[in-house]
Amino acid sequence: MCIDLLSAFYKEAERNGIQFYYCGKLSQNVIATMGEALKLRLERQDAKGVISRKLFSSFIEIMQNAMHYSPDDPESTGYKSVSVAIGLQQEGKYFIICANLILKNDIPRIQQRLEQLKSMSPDEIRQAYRSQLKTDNPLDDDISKGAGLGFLTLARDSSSPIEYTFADINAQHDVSTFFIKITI
Amino acid sequence: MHNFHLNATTDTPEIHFDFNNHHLSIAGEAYPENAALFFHPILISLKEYFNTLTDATVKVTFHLTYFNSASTKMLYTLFDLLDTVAAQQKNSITLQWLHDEDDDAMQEFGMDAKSDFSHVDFIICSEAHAR
Repeated sequence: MCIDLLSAFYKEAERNGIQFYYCGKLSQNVIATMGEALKLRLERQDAKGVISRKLFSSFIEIMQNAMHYSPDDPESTGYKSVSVAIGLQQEGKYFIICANLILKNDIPRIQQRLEQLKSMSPDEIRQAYRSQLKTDNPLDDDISKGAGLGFLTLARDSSSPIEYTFADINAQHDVSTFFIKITI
Repeated sequence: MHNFHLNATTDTPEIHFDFNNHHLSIAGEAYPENAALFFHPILISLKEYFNTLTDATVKVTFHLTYFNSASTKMLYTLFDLLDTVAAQQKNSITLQWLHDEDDDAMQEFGMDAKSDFSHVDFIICSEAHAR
């Protein structure tokens, strides 16, 4: 084994602006611990309050979305997996990229939801957020435990449209990988 | 009636309901794994309290620095309950919505809620407070 592996890995991450990276078991504990670490890091970097808050909020929404949607990792002993990277682009904007498994059956609904958001203006997103908040039943949509509010929150905090894609693991599998990218 | 208290954790706020003095307070961050499950006992205890209430002036203080989307929904459920009680002639509810000084989004959320619930007396105020 090459003892220098970490610096090679670090340099490659740095070249891509990546500041924070995790790949492994997904749980509420992991989310809360990473969230705290992210906050401390943003404080050190002196990210302005509003950017720091939007980034933290987007991180929590993306990770909890992944936790609620994704099926157990078929290669695991009954837990969910995630890959997430947080970075700073050259033009000074933060981004979050997250990959998690989803059931192929859920793809059309997620796709429809995200396409709809892409076509909306910031003001329309704000209106939709307000009206979603006032609808009666918080649990009327089982695809998203925040009743669609999760994606709207992400869209609200994002400075450009949400990017996403799906990748087949193989044709037989009933799960795919879902990639989502948010820019703050 | 017994007071209701929950200590803050990393992902849940401190809840302190001083029923005898009609002062209820919620402060901290809210992003539990399951918001409905976390808020359920809180709503139950509030409902029990409000059932005993006549001719009272209740003060509710919120100082939240972050809540996730699922908790946002639960906050609206809570506001709705408060608004229903405040609509009854004999009770009045003042809701103080505190936000950190530079947190415009939190202030805006309070103002939106104020316009959505007309019976509760919403007071939006900023607090100089390091995050």
